[in-house]
Amino acid sequence: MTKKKINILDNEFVPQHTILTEEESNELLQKYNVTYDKLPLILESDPVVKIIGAKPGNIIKIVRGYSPAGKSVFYRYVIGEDVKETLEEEVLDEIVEDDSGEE
Amino acid sequence: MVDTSFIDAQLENQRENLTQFIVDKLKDKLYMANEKYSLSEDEVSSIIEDSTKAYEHSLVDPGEAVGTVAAQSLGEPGTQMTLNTFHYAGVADINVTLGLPRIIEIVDARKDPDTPVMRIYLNEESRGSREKAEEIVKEIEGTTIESISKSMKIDVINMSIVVELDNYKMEKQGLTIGDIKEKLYKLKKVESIEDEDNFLTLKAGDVSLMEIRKFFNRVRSHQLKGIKSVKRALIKKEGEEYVIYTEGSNLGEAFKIPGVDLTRSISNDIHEIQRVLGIEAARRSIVDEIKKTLEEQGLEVDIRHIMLLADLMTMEGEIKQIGRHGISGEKSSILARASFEVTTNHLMKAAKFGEIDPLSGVTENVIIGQPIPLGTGNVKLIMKK
Repeated sequence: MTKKKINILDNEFVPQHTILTEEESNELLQKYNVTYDKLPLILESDPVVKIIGAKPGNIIKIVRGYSPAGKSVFYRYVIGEDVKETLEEEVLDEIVEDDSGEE
Repeated sequence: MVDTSFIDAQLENQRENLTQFIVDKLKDKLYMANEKYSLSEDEVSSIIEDSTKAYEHSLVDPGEAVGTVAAQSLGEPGTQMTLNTFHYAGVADINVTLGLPRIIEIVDARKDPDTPVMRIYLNEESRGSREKAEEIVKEIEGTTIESISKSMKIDVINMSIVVELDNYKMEKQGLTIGDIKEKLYKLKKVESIEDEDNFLTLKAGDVSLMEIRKFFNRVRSHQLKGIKSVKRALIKKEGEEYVIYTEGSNLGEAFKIPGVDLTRSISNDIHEIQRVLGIEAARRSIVDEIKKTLEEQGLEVDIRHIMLLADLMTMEGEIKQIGRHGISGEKSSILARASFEVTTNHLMKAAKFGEIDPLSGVTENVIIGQPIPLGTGNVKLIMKK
């Protein structure tokens, strides 16, 4: 089988992702009067994040073309896998405890 | 007739209040109307003004309970849905879970959907010809030794496995006896393979009856070619081009096959899309799948409600289910969590850790009997002295 170049960014389901510079990030946070931890998240291990080379702490601007109002802009904050895991463990503990006492 | 620059300037003034999409549309319409009816400056201004007003009027008010509206808008059509529908995706017999079970599957974010299906488009060279599509199907379709043999049995006397190959099926898959032998030698424990006419005899050395049974099962499901987990692939003609539908899904592998158009090919397994294409693609897929399922039942739900749901599910960077182990279980308020499911557990745990509920949400305040922070309840008024 011949090798084929695979670029998932070409898929029509993947919208355009761009990394914001520090200035732009600050501007954005100021505009919406939020802190970065209030933004929706995207994992560091996300295939698109890997390709565009974003690091935890970056904010990614996503321009969605597929929307009833034409283009719509969305922002996600890149979060490292280890941070996520500690969060998850807490949730997991809770679930284990939950499951033991019900059903 | 006014100059086009006047229209542009007027629109530029309203750019702050309108979205790009509306500005562009309005511009097109105004240019057209201007040519047809030769508008005056006053008319242009008032059209733009009215459009801006109409747009602002249609926006969601701050404090509006969009979540509740979305939940009811999706829940009501759910009551009208048939409980169990199986639908054949156009061709022969690939069946796809649809109707209420499918919606529940998506909202619960199940790891393994009942009927994973891929829709594979072909690139420009291959999409027009059936022969090329068939070649790609051969690459995609998972082939095991069982699927190309007439019979397989264990020869207990000689402690070997006898496979009777089906020439026709082998030819169809483009496999020769040499290929099959090569692939089988990769299996553990295979000592020798003899072929005679269409019979393959596999010897596994000195093993017990139990072990040869296990070995037999491994041989039977050994992948010879194609993508693992894809059981079947079918070709369907859609308009001018041939499209391949598969039963079973593995997008990552499918993209590697030459001739597959990776810009349009997609799966219906949302977790797989998240793994291969990322969270944003998964969000879009949730919207698409729910919309498709509802439309198939003749129900119409505004896409914005579904988009809100999808946004909520993908908020954390990975797909979260709506439910006790997902969004509803992670609410910060104890009372809100307790009012949903497993009440005692939540209350006990909260008591154990001495949690405090600041009563900042809706559910808590409904329980307590206070005004809820929604709509007009969202603003606080202070009397002027």
